[in-house]
Amino acid sequence: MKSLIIKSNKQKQNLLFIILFLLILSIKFQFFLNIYTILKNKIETRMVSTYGYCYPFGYGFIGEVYLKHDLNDYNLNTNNKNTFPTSNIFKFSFKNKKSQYEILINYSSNDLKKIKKKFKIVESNGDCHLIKYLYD
Amino acid sequence: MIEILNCLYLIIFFSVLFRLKFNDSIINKLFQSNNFSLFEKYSINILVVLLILLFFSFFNFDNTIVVYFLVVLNIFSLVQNIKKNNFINYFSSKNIFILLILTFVISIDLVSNIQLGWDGHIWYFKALNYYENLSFFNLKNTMMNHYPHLGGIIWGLFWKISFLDYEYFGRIVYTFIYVVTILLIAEKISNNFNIKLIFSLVFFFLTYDLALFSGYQAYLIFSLIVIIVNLLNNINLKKTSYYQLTFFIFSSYLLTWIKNEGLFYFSFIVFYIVFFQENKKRFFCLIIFALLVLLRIFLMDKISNSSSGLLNFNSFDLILDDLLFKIYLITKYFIIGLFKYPIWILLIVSLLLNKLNQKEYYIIYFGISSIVFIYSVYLFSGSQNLVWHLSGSLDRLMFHLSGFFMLFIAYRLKYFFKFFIK
Repeated sequence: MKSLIIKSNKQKQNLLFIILFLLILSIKFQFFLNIYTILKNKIETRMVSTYGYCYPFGYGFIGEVYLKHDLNDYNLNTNNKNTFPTSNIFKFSFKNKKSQYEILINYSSNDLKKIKKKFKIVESNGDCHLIKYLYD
Repeated sequence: MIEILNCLYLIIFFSVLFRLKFNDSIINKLFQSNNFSLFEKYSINILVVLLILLFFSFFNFDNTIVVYFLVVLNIFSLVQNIKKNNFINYFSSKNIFILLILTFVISIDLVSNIQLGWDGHIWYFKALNYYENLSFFNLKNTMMNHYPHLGGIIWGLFWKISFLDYEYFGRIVYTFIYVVTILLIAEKISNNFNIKLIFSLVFFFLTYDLALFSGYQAYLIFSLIVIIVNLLNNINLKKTSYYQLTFFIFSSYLLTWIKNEGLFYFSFIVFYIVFFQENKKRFFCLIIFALLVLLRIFLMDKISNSSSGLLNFNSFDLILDDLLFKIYLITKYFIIGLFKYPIWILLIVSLLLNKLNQKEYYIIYFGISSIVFIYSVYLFSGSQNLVWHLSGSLDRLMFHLSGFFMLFIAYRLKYFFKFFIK
């Protein structure tokens, strides 16, 4: 009987230890906050809040113009005025065709004027633009 | 909620895939030992699976077939063992439980913070290549096509296996490999489960950096180095068989396919193995080493249109002032880097606190090789952007190399805490 109680106490201690371990782990890795963030926001919402509608990566704008202009079979080049890594990751596929459209991200109206090639703006939203180059 | 369920599905998938129960007897025969722990078996199987995936990546072959085949085979061999070993007990064991929990917690951190890092945008296209079932030779159409692709293979593959079509689920495999590595190291300190947990927590505090899961290959390279060093430590290198040598060399070769600097880490390991061999086996090792390096150069030449840029000898000038200034800058950023991933600080402290025994001399070799490597990389690079290079990459380079020291640190901690740990 005595040994049973000791065993049970030891098990309780182990259990307490594991709970404490998991608690420290959860705090270190912000587990509860992360679960809350995932449950509260849908994937697309989090994608937009991470990569931005226009600033910094233009995720929302890129998704919108692809859908609106039915461009899913094309690879549109993206050009970010700021020094950021490429936004091509959002829609690029090795199997897609090239396109004469280009997406400009974080381009103010002054920046647009500095582009030497001829183009027309197909769609704009803030500092994000879908443009089409004109060839003579 | 569906994201959390998808994480759980992937973690269970990894725990089955990398278990390779049917491989146990082969591992026991190869290493002539039955004493491998669960995490050691996992770690060896990670190497085996990566070797298989690397091999098939050079052919126009859907890697998911290989993975599903391995999983089915593994489930079959696990079910076959129900009577021999209690199947339920196995999966409800503390070790499996803690592996799944830890991977789950870290993967939730990743899924909640999905942004790719700067280099992640480059590595992403390697993953996309394999996500879209394209061959190795299509990698010439990717950015930085002189970068190797092993990290991309597994990222793309598990992205494809995921129920949800988002790239970051593919990156969860990195967390699984990382957790196996940390638990592998923690169990060297004590067999007591609770103490293992405490030290695994310590190692997580010392090595965890969420930014390195944002598409970087650092954890993969770090983990493989730890796994290989642990294996080397498990056997008597003076009495290695040809099979063992071949396995070690091929396993280390994986490093060269993760990052270009992996070629140097591969060399460090092979030369270390060669040192303990008799002449005949030395020759054998060096021949395999040379052939594998040439094969890599040949294959990478097929897809890349620039050199690695790792060592640019043309820009190296021997002006003393410039050289001294470079050494000063490298040392400065090296010291800063020590504080980002404090494994190096722990290494220095543990070296100072106690004498090395003969079995630990390997740490001098890997320590000196690492420091010489760090200085060489930056001394040979051009001086124009040196500060930018140092601030952006030296800490990660130091983190890769700290993989060589993890096992040593674990044994030192075991020594220092031997009065408290039974």
